[in-house]
Amino acid sequence: MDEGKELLFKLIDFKRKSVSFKDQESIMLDGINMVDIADMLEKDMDNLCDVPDSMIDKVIEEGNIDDNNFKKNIIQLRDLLYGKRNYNLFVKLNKEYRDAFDIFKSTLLEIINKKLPGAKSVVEIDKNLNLLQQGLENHKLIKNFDFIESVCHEYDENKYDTNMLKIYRYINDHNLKILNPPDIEFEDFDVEIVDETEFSDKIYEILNKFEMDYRTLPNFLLKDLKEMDNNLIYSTFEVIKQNKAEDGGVLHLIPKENQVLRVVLLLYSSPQAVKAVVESLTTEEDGLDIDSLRILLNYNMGVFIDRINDYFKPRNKDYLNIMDGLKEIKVNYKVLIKRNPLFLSQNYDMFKYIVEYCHEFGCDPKELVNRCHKTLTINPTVIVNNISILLSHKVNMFTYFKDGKDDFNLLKVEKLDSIINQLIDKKVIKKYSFTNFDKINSIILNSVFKKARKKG
Amino acid sequence: MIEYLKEYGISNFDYLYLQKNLNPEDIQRLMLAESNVRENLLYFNKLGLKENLHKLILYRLDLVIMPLDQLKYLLSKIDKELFVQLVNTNIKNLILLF
Repeated sequence: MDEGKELLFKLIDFKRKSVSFKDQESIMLDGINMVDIADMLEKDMDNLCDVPDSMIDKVIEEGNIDDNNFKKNIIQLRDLLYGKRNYNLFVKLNKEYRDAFDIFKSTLLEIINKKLPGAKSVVEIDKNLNLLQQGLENHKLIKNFDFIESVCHEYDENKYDTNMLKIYRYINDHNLKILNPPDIEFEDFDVEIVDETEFSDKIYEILNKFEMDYRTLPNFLLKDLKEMDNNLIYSTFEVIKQNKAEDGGVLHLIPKENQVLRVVLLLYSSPQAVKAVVESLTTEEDGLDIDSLRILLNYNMGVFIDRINDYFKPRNKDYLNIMDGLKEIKVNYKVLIKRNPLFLSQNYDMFKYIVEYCHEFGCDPKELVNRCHKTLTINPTVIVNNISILLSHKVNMFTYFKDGKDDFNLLKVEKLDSIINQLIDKKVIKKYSFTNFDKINSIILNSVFKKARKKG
Repeated sequence: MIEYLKEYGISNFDYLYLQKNLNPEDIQRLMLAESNVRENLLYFNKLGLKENLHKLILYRLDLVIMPLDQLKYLLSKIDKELFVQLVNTNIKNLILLF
């Protein structure tokens, strides 16, 4: 057996012997592990709809909850959430329901801790061991690296590095075999082999102008060069080959060695799309902004693409709409293109929705773009999610946007809800009445950076 | 189409992970902006980022596809060591710094 694999089996045995799992039965109810339910509820309130009546009764009974309305509220809430998940019902929860949920969750955790102190970690270890064993025996991906590292550390601290090296070598091979199975051998069948790619005269003329060796192009581009309507291709060529960028002659702004980019422009951009982009970057006072045009061509070709094709998403319409929007709210789009060219090819509907949603709370769209353009590009939904979280904590969003001292960092951060709850638990901020955004921001920044420095 | 990423310290395993988890449009972007991406990845390598470069590509493509002079300019304003540590440990909150 491979040394790394053998070591992994040894680690499983070692850990199983060092942890007692027998008491786990005390936290089982009708075959359901209470820790699993607690975890599910921690992740998402909507998971309450999977909680059976027996679990609710148990929590009420063992948690000594006297409130008569509690059971009614929690069952109603569960049924509402069931409707939300299965019938897309619009559910707006009042304070009573939220309070009932908080009480249910915390009581469940108390019961678990009373029955089996440290249950969460025991269950977690059990799950990880099973996962690892299944991975080894059933040829499944092994992914719980943090767990393996910690057990390996406990197993033999002195040989930790050499052991981990053997283990990682084995896991790497193991996972690669699963992700990249050997090629299946097909039976022989007739294949028509095309010896030479032949293009029409018009296409040869273009290729000569490009001074390119077309044999270096990817096959899918060669196929479209051969099969697409020659007149369409030629119409784009006639525009982009011109000398002046103001007339749409943009070909010379893409370096000759970047042939793929040039051919993509030729095939999937129409003359109208090219001219529209050029026009969008032209002002009466300054004329055409060549720098921005060059950046878009070389870093974000999608904004030139408007022809439907099998390979590249047309983003020309999105780009033109976003540019109109940016001009309307007077954002300095030249700086934005330089700093974040991908911003211009995001989904326009999503962009518009988020800007309008924030504006409902008094947020200046220009401020939003200037401060959050990176979040808007890479993960726009986090902004909406975080606004919902802040609203659920009764934050006055009008005050928040007016204040603006935190650079809108609360809108960008991941797992905002758990951060706020932690701060409430530690009594750094008061529940439902915090307005000290600047302070929260500096606490979050400190904690993120401190952790990074510590781990680093 | 984006196999060149492996030249900058991305392992076979991470490469497969990227292929499965990047959205197709981002793969196209990486393919079309190859020469620029190469420049930026080389720069990140010089800063000491290799093992976790795949995280940067997955979560912060905006930093991988941008003019190198701009990238250098923006990075000159912050603590580079902290930047590398955040990429290694908490990439999702890197946005708070950069």
